[in-house]
Amino acid sequence: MNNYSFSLAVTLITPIAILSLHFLRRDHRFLNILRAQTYKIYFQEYFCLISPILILLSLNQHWLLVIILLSALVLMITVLNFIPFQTLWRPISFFTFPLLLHFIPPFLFEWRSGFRRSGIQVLVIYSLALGLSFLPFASLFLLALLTFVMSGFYTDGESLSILNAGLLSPKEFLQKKIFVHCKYTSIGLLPVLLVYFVQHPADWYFIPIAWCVYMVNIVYFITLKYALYRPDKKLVAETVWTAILFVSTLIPFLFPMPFLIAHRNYSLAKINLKSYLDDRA
Amino acid sequence: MIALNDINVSYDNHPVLQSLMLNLEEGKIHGLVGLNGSGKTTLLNALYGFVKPIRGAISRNDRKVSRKDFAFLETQNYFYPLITGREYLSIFTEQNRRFNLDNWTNLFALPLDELIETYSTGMKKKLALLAVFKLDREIFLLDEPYNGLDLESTTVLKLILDEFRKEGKTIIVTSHVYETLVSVCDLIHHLEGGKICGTYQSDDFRTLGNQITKLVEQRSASTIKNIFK
Repeated sequence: MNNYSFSLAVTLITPIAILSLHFLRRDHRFLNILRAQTYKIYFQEYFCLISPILILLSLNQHWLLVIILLSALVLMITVLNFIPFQTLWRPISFFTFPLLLHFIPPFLFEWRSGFRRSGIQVLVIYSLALGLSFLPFASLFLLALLTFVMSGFYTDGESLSILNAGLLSPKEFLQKKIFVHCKYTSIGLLPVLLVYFVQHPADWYFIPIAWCVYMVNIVYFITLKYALYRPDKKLVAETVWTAILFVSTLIPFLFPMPFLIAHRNYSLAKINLKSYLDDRA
Repeated sequence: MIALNDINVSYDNHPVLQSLMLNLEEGKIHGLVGLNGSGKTTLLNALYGFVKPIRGAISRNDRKVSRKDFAFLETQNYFYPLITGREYLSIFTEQNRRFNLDNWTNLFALPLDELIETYSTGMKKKLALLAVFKLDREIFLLDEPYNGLDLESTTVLKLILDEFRKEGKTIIVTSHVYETLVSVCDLIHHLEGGKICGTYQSDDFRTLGNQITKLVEQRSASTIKNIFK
C-alpha cells in the first residue's frame, strides 16, 4: 500500500470515528445549557482532535485530502446541528438489540448493557468493515474504530456485589476479565479478519498487527475502568481517554502509548481493587 | 460461633464502632437493632470486609472469616444499567444445586426478562435478595431487607428466612421496623453508640421494644414540644 492510499483510508475513516465519538458523548445536554450555539464547541473540539492528522496530510502535501477532511467535518457538524440524532438514536438502538444480544453470553454484562446503548453503531461499523473489505486497510481501521465504540461499554462501575461475585483476588479478577473480554472480542472480529485475509492475502502480516492493536485497546479500557473504579459510579472523563487512544492509533510514533498506559493502569487497578475485593482470605 | 472481639471502626477520625464485643451463635437468626447512626450497617460492612477495623478481630470457629462465608444484601441496591433481571442473576454463580429460578420467580412475581430500570423499589429489593439466596453461602448478612417490600413480600421473606434457619444457615438482619425483627429473630442485639448494649432472647423482645421506645421519647420529647409550642 502506498502513502497516498494510506492517507486516503485515514481520511475516510476519521469522519466515521468522529461521528461515533460524538454519539458516545454524554455531555450534549450540558453543552446545550452552557451555550446556545453548541456546534461551535463541537467544531473546535473535533478540529483539535483531527489536527494531528491534518498536519501529517499537509506535510505529505495531500491538499485535496485536507480539504475533504475539513469539508466532512463541517458537513457533519452542520447536519448534526439540524437533525435530532440524539433523540432518534436510543429508540433505534433499542429496536436492534435483541438480534445482537443473541450472540452475547449473559456473563458479559458490560457488553449486553453496551449493545443496548450503542448496538446500532456497532452493527453499522461492523457491516461497513465487512462490506469495504475489498479496500486495503479500510476493514482494519473500521475494526479499530469498533473497539473505540466499545470503550463506552466500560464506563459504568458495577456494584460491590457484582465485583465480589467470583470471590477472586484483584490479580485473578483482572486477568480473568481481560482474558474473557479479549477472547470474545477476537471471536467477534474473526469473520471480518478472515474476509480481509481472503481479499488481501499478500497483506496477511498486517492482520496479527491489527489484532494486537484491538486487544491493547480492550485491555486499555478494562484497566482504565478498574484503575479509576468506584462502586456504582460512572468513569470520569472517559471521552478524553478514548480520544488519547484514538490519536495514538492513528499516529505511528504514538503507537506504544496505549500499551504503556494500559500497563500502568493494570498496576493501578490492582492497587485500587484491593480496597474492594477480599484481602482477608 | 462468629466472634467479634474488640472491634473499632472509624470514618475520618469519627468513631462508629467502639470496642464492640459480640458472639453470634450459628444456625440462628440474629437481629441488629439501634437508632439511626448506631453503627448497624458499619457492623455488617466490617463482618463482610468492606470496612477494615482499626483494631480488633473477627473470627469464625477460631479461624479468620473470609467473604466466602457470607452473602451480603446491601441497604442500597445498585444494579448495572441496561441489563435485565435474568442477566443480573446470571452474574452470581449458582452454589445451591436445588436453586430453581422459575420457582423463585413465581414466588416473587418478578419480570426477569425486563430491564431492571423498569422495576419498582420492592421488585429491585426482591431481585437483590434472589441474588443473595442464589449464592447460598453459610451466613447471610441482610441490611434492611424489608425496605420497600409490601405486606405480602414481607410475610414471604419471613417464611423464607425460617426455612433457611431450618437448613442451618446463620442470618444477621437489620431493620428500622422493630416488629419485623420480633417476628423472625431468635436473638436481637441492641446496638447503641457503637457498642452492643445487650442481647435479648424472644421472651425479652417486648422489654427491649419498650426500652427503645423510651429512649426515643427521651431524646425527642423536648424537641417535639418546642415544635408544637
